[in-house]
Amino acid sequence: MDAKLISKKELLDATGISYGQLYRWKRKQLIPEEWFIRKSAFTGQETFFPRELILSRIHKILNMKDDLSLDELADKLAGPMNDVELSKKQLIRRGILSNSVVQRWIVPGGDERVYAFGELLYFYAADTLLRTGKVGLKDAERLLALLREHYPGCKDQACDLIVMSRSGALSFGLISANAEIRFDEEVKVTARVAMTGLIEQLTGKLA
Amino acid sequence: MHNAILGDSKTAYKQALPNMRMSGVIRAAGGRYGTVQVDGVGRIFGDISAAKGFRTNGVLNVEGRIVTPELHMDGKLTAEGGLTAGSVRMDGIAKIGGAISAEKLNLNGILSAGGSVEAESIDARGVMKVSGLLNAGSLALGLTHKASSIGEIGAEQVKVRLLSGSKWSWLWEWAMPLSKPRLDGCLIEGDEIMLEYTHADIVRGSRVTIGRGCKIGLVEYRDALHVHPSAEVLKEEKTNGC
Repeated sequence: MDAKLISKKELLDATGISYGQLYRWKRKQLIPEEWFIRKSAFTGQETFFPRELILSRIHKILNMKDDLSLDELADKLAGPMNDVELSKKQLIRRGILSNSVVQRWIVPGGDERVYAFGELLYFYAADTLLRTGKVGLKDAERLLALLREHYPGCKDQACDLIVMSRSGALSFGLISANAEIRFDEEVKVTARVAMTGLIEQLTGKLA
Repeated sequence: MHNAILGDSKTAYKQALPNMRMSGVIRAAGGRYGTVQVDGVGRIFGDISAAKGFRTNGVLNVEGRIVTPELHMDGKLTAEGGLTAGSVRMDGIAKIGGAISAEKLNLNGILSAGGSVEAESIDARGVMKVSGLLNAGSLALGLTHKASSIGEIGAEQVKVRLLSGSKWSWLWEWAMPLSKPRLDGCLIEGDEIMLEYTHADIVRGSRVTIGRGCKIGLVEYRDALHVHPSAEVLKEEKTNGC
């Protein structure tokens, strides 16, 4: 079984929640529809979830549900804080992005520039990959271009950012989170990052 | 969440929107209205939203989706799109092409939905045909007349029972001899599940009661399982959740 996925049954056993709770949270949109992945198993159809995303989401819900109503919680978890806008100054001061990213892309921009959540997300994605050391600043430029061009078209579904390399040259791609992709032997997938995970981390940092 | 939207539109457009009030044979364009009341036979073209309420008597065909805080229908209603509503009361035959999302759903008659159904509480007597997932806080389904089918049920409480036949049941049985009231489903999951005359592949829940006339492939339960002697359960399993 795929190690990145967890079956519904395992999930309930691991977290101690009940079927009713899971369905209620789905109804209240605390758990996004795309995380319910249907696969056929020997018992018929089974539902699976992206393991890390769902476990961290459920712990978050369990921790917060005593203080907030489910509707408030849904607003909080709704992910992209679309109304977030940071000025260049705030962005630098709050240290959301690492120094190298700020120096390269933020400092040269005009002082009046305001950064919306969508744009911050692109920089944050680049930043995350830069910090792994597998991607250089030059390549990250192309990554940003890719995100600007194609991410708006696929942000309604969960998608992953993949980095592949072929004889030292890096390429980037966006694929749907459930998709599996295989390459010939010369191509290596250096990193695969879930955009939903990045959104959650960034939301946490901005909150 | 849709409640917030409905609530907003209710206050914001209360004054500004026109009402639709029609009787007889009607044809009308969709759009945004305050209240919509239709008596008679008719057709509405396009999506329609009613900020205060939607009331229909007779036969109405909507070529689009319906959005309203309160829907009350008597007769027959067909909507090619989905239905988003606060409280819904249906007496008669309703055919919704897309998904249904409501706070409260009351049904007396036949409801078929092409998409999924989501509601906090569903109280139905009659026949339900849902091809997708029915996700509800509580589902009470009284089976009458003919077979219901729901692809998948996920709910906190599920209660399915056979209602004793109406005065006219003999006539119905005579007219449609093949159709016995029962529920067909693949998967039923919930906390508290009580079933009668249900045929399902898998039932999973905390406290499960399998009543008369059930045929279930696999039952997985956490706390308790009761099976009526006349019910058939091929396999049962206690799972050790907390």
